[in-house]
Amino acid sequence: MSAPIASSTAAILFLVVIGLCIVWADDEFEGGSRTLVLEHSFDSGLNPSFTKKGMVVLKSVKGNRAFFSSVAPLTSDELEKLKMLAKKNDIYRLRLQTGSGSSGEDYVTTYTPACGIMSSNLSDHVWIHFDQTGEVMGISLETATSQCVNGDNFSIQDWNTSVEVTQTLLGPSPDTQSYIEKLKREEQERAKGQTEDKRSFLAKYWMYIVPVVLIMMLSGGGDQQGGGGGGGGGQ
Amino acid sequence: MKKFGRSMMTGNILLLLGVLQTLPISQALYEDQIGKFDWHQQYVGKITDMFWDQSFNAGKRVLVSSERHVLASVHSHNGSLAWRKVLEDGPRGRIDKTLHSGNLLVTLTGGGRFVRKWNAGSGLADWEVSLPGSKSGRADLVQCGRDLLAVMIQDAVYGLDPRSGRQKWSVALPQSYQVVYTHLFTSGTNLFVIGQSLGQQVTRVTVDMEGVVRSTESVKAPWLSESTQCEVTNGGVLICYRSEDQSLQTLTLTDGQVFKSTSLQILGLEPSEEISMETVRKMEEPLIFLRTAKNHMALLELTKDGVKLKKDLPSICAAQVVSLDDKSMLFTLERIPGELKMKVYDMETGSEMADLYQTITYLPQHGYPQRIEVLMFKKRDLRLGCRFAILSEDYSMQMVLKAERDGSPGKIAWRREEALAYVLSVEMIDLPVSENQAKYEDEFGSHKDDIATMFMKRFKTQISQLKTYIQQQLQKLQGHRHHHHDTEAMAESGSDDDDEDLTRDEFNLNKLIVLVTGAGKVFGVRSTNGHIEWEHFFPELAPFDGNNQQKLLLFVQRTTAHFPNPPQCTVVGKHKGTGNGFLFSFNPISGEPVDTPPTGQVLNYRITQTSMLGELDDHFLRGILLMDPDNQIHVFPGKCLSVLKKTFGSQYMFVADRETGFIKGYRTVPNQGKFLMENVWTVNLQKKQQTITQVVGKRPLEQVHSQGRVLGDRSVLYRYLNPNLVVVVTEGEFIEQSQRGGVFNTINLYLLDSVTGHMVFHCSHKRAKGPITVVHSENWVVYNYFNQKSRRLEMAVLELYEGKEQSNSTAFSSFSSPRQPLVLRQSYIMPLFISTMATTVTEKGITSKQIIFALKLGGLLALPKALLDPRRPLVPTQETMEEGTIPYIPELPVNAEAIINYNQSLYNVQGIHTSPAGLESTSLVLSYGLDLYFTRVQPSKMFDVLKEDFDYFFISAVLLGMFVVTIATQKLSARRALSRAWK
Repeated sequence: MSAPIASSTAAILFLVVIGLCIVWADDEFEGGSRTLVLEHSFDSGLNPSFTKKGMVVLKSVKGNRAFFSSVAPLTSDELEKLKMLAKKNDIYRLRLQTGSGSSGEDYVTTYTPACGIMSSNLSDHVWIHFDQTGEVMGISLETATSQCVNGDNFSIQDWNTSVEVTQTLLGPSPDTQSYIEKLKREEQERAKGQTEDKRSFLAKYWMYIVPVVLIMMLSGGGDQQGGGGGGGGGQ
Repeated sequence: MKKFGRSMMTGNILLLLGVLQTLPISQALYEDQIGKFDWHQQYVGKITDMFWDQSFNAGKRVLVSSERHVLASVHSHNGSLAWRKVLEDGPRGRIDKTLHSGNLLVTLTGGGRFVRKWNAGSGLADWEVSLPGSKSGRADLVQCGRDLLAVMIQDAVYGLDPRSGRQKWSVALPQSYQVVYTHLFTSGTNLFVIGQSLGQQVTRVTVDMEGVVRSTESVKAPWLSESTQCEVTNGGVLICYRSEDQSLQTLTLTDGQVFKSTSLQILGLEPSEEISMETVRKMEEPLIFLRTAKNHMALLELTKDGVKLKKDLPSICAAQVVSLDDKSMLFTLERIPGELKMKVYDMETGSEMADLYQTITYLPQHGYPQRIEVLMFKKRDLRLGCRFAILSEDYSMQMVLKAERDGSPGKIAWRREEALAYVLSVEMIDLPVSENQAKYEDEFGSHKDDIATMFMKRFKTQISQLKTYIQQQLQKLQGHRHHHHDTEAMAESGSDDDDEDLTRDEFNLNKLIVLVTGAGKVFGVRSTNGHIEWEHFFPELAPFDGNNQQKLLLFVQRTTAHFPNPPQCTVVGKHKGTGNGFLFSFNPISGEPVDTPPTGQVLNYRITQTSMLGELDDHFLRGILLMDPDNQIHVFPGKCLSVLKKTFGSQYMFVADRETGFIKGYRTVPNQGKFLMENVWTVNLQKKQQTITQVVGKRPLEQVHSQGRVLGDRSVLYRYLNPNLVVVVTEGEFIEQSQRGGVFNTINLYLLDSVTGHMVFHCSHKRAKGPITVVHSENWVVYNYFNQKSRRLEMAVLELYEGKEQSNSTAFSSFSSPRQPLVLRQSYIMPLFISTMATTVTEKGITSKQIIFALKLGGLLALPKALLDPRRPLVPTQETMEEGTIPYIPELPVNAEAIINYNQSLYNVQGIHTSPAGLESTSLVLSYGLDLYFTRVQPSKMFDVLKEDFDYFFISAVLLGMFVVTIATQKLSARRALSRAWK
């Protein structure tokens, strides 16, 4: 009797776990993530050739969760090229495939001075910009510094790349709702204030009464000044 | 919105008023200040139809209608407007036909949507009839006798009563063979409707005066194509010109069954690309003018057997047939250098009428005359007299009254420069310093002189300074009476002679405004009174156009500040014929051409992008970079190439392609002695979903005074001042997936760094529609859009801050700046519709900014930027009050005192240009469109000018007194100290 119950609870538990997994896994992409191919180039000139730098694994655009997985460290050949670029104050290019990759139209590209890559020890930060439907619009590259340093004995070969994702936000709109609420609240407060104010006449208007009294006293006092002085003398 | 109005009243008004009071919202003028520093010029646009007023003011006024949807009446004695009616914007207001005869003035507008009868004397509408409008956009209007107006649209013909507009009858037109009805014509007691079916036939529907269809016939015309031009002449002949084989096809409407073909060669006329036909009005015989070139016309007679050449008119650029009593005359205009020759021929005999022969002084900057409209009259001694208006290629209208003596050249009585209704680019140029100051500059400017010459220069300068001083004193002694007399004389003689020299005033408030117009004309206009100082006309200059936006670029290559080098400006446009680049460089003060020939320079490549060099050359000239379709860079003028060689590493450009939705960034690389643009970044704005409609950068070399903003807690919020930031606006449609469905518009805004291609910020507005105007200045962006959900205009503001710490306080680099600045944003309700907006600019950027809105109602509304501040708090606290922000109210206040053009309504405002004056408090404003309006604004009031009633005597007395007291007390205390020391 107890066995079927146990098995059915196990089955329910299992289903719940799966359900949770589905909920936890992002429902933005089928299979939980989307990968994008990142390519880079160390060539200078008008038609640079690109090689694969790594993959960007995109977990969630809204949640800004994306990771970079490197394919291979920098080869010594590439390192030499990078040094040359830095020496010539040239640029290091990066591109992201958005379409099938058959034509130049299928990529978005960006660049940064090669010096910056060298002086920040191959650590770079990639921004990928998405529109609201999840299409890639652009990519950009940031390094900690873009200053040139002497890179003759530069030997780091492992990329330290981080990825950040931005998506088109909703533009501002007039905040009429909270303004109306504020006005209502103020009105209520005022109404409350009016009903609750049951202080005595003197308590309410003392600030008007006191000056009037004071002025009257002072002006009256002027007339009696002589008398007062005389009185003082008498004592 | 009504609700807001009411609730605002009950709201916490005292506090708000208190804060608002501190803002310099009011700009109002006193009555006696009207016209003191503002001026207003009204235009009508390119004139398409012109009639001498035959009603009440016969001969005294000219009625005109223009392609800018304007109907107006012009005084013939001075060219001023008697009245002007600006019809609706967009296709609804397009004037299809204007009809004037006797007392009747009727317009057909909006593709047959509205028929309106106007009172020619006052410009008031007598009646208006609204019709369904024509699907094809073609509509026609004719008058049949005294009692009937016939209107043709694609579906039907309507008979209207000219007195009341009452519809008498209507007739449906047959709609087979893809027929497009194009012409309506009346002859005898019948109306003929002509319809064209491309490649097939011409349909002729005959309708009688009672609105009964008499017959529907079709005539075979397989040659009809898109490029075929057809006209109907008086006497009922349809004539079509086929450009394919240069032949004229004629058909008699009353009884013709087939088209008769006559080729141009048989007539002895030379075929050309630009053949057009002009109908001859007011004649019974079937005549038509054929224009084969700008200065070659021919008068053709249409007979039963085809076309006959009545008179070849070589080198004639405009002609008209006029009849007086029962005599018909042919007026012709020929342009020779500096003059126009008018010859008149008798139509019956063909002989020239020598007594009407005239020459007219005519300036070459008006191009060829294109039309004349002659008014004939009999003088008291029964001789014939005439006056006529000329419409020229440069959109100008000129009036020739008469020669004073026989034989002397006729004078242009006045002219209207209608090209000024098509302004595309504006710059305000400082005037040069006076002669004395120039000498002073000259003295210290050159370093090569030896002591003797320097001494001589010094001596001469001082002598001339003394001379001008004495002259000024003498003028003062002579007093104002003389001056007053002068102004009266000026008013009589016209406006051209009264202008003083072009020299800078004390506060550099007066400028020379350079206006580049879509008509291909460039003007130099004085900012003091709006008078034209110089003008150039380039018949071959055309604006760049894309997405219904026309652009002509105007670059200031050298300002007036670099004496003795003259200032220099350059216009960059497109050559009309080839589409290649077209440049014209000139001295903006004198208007003289520099570096380019006086007729402009045509390049041998197209221009895809332009930019200016970052640095000046040895002579303080800033070169222009021109990019051709092969991504090669050209420098203009060539002598600035050396600057590019030095600084190419920091020259970046970007091109936004509307066709593909891609924005591409380029850097400059040297390549075999040339410079090429190399694509370094690409952004894909997804053409499938949206189209790029605006790309707005900042004003180059903008002065920003403050690097940050002081908050209530005395900390500083640093501004994100990226000079490379551009705003890209796209508009698109999306299909809503909710139950109601439907297609809605969306707009997206991208803030791009144009050097790295980094998207600094991007946001979208759903259910929002353009047209969008973007104002981008300092660290903020203001834009407007129409909210389709709430059906109102909204104004959004984005302000960018680096945060509490500044990344680099000395220079900005796009590579090392923070990538994600703080973007504060807020949106407000704009209660009125606007056509465009701009922000004020001042010399040093210290003065707070105002935003000037051109309202559709005709006003220019100036609101302080502080009202469009994203930091306006909903609930004011001590801290925000310390900071000086105004509590949030969703609606922007519209104050009648903030309308800077008081009652001078402006129509169809296309743009507002602002420019700094020498006074920090003052910004100069020029609004252009159909009207030109110039004024000054002081966003923070005149904080740097003493008031007129400033008490100099009192202040100096106090100062002097304090000085005396200081000295006296000092003496006294010294003496006292001494005496104390002796004790």
